[in-house]
Amino acid sequence: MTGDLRNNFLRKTVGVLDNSRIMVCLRLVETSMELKPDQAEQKQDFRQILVELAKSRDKKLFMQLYDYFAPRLKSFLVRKGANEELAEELVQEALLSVWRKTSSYDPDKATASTWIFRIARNLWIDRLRKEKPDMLSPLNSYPEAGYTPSLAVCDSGRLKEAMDALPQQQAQLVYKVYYEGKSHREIAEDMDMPIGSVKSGLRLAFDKLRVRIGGGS
Amino acid sequence: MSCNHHPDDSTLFSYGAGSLPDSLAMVVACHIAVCEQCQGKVADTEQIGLGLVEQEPQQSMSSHSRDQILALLNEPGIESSAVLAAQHEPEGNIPALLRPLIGNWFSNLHWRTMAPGMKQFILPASQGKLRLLKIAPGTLLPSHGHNGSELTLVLEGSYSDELGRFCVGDVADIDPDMTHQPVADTHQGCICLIATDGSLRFKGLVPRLLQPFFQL
Repeated sequence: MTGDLRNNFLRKTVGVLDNSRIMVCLRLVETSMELKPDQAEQKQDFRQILVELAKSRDKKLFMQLYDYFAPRLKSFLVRKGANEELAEELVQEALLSVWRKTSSYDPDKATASTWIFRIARNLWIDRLRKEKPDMLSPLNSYPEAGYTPSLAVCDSGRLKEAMDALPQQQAQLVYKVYYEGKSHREIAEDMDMPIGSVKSGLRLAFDKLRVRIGGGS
Repeated sequence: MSCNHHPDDSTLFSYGAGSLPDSLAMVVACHIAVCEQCQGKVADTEQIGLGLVEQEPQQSMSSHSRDQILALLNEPGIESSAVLAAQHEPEGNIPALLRPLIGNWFSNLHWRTMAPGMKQFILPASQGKLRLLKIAPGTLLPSHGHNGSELTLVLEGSYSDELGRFCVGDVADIDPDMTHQPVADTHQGCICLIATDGSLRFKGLVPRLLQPFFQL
């Protein structure tokens, strides 16, 4: 967790805005903030790189993707509970699979980073399943259904604002899901609350984050 | 496919984050394969996940990893047998995602009888339990509650319970505090894919006694 985020978690243990005021703040910040062009452009480039890669099979071009995504995916997987070695192995597997599957990438259906993240996430779930013997891993080996993401490029600055605006408990739930990789039941045990409350807190948080970063309802 | 019942947003949220136990994740994956609405939501969760990853300090890869991947790029990609099988054998009534695990047809599975009108087939899962349940037309299941999450996806036929009628593609995302008593609709048997990550709580004594035998 970055210092800012951590501070924020600490800050929220002290004072919490009520929901309606948060929503007003969210809307205010939303109208006043524009997507930073450099960030949007960078991600646009990745989309272009993937499309280009399918045609040219240019390894140098691929290594641009690799250098950007490998450390990020590794950090994601380590957060999920993978040890150093496993995380690196999965990063290699995920990015190799990106290289091999570029022809199936549809730039109209997903941003490059979503597509790559999804491949890594599915590999991780498959790996969990593989912990049991005689198990195949169908999630990633099967051709994907066409996804239609409703969000455009996600600006991490906006998202940070949105996280900061969440009530403390909801922020904590999101943290446990994304950063600690905990299931609803584990979170319920950790936080000593009913699973129903874990789920409703996550529902609310999800709604707010979606509104805030420009997707969903 | 237009479905009437979907996984809860909190379930999709955890699925997108890669934090759902694999048994539950399989049910969600089979549902989103046919549900556009949920595909959109999962894509949103993926965007959120990416944004959060961006805020993380990155973890650098070890020094040999670039050379290693460059070497791997030269190897021809092997189409996995699952993909080939799916492309060449489109027929089957088992969802495409499950076919690499159990084949194409429900009728070829070795179903185990649990009770009159109820058969099950256990699928591999490392966290929680994953099973197919086949319920004869009109069969009433024992009333039960849950100690964890339960996700049910209807694959064939339909059933009804306190929450409504569930048809092919629908998912019941049962709150743990809830007790329900599903009954298969009468015109056709019902096959469901069910994942649980806690034990079930039965009201009746007999189902409670049978619990250990059927891995409930």
